[in-house]
Amino acid sequence: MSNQRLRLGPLGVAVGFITLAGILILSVLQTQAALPTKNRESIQESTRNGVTVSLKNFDLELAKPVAEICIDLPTTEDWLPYPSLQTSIGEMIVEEVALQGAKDSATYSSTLRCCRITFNGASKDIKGDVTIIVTKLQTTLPEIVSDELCNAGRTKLQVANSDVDFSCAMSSNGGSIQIVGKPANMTDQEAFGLVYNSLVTTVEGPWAFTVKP
Amino acid sequence: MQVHATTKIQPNMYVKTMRILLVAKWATASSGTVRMDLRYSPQCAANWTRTTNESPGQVRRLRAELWNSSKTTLLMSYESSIYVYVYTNMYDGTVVRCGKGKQGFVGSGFDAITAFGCA
Repeated sequence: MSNQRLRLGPLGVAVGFITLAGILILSVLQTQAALPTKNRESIQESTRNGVTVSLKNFDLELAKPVAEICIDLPTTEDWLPYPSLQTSIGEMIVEEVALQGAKDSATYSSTLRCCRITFNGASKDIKGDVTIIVTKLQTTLPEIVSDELCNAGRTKLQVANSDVDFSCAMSSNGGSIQIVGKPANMTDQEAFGLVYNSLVTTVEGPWAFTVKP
Repeated sequence: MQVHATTKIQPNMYVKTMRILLVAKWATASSGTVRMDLRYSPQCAANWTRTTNESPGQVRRLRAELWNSSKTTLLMSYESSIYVYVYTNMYDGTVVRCGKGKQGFVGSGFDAITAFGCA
């Protein structure tokens, strides 16, 4: 057995060397594929209200600007970031937020989640520095807003003296929230904003990252 | 793991413990801003989509659609003109699915239509 090992030694070393070289080449290729941008940024981090958001990448080589961020969330609930992109030609609003590794159990069982954000504008129009701003993180509404959740939201608004009151009506495939009371000088949109915020959990930012193309 | 690939299972029955927002897409037009969520239940390994009127001062016609990965077959849809948000029933989510959200004025066609979001 030991003789066999001695005889196979040089071959094993050669195979090992070739394998290692292959892995290194593949690793380099994969890294380049993951960061195909002329605006490759070193990681930037920002912490607000105990939550750290990291900018992993910002890409202007695609038709639309794309940022990749990772967030160390407070819980494993369903959180949505609200980002925008400030440029020299104005603000670009978000078009898509896509969770990375979305259906992988390692993703949804962890509080550290990464997402790819696409902004609604043309990359070619961007000149000069840009700032990616995540204004807030918010949990999403459940499909059914239970009486318990609805009442808790109403109580929050009462405690805050907002003078806004609402009711919740749910069905098998939809939900409706009716404003039943609000100050005369408050728009429906403002009232709905307060109601929505009373039903979800929010962590306020902003988390801001400036990138020099 | 039980997979629900049926038109009879509604997400609210099964997603009280965990639901994941895989992709959110927005679109804006005269009727306001609409958001489509492609959602996932790990327990059920099932997808569904939800469409939300993000300018809910006025009631809008809303439609949630769940498509196959090649965006050629509509698997699930639900439409209503009385809710702030609507959602489809669950469908097998063990493979890539795509969602699309539509919004319009009540009694009219859809003017705010998101692009497909897939995961």
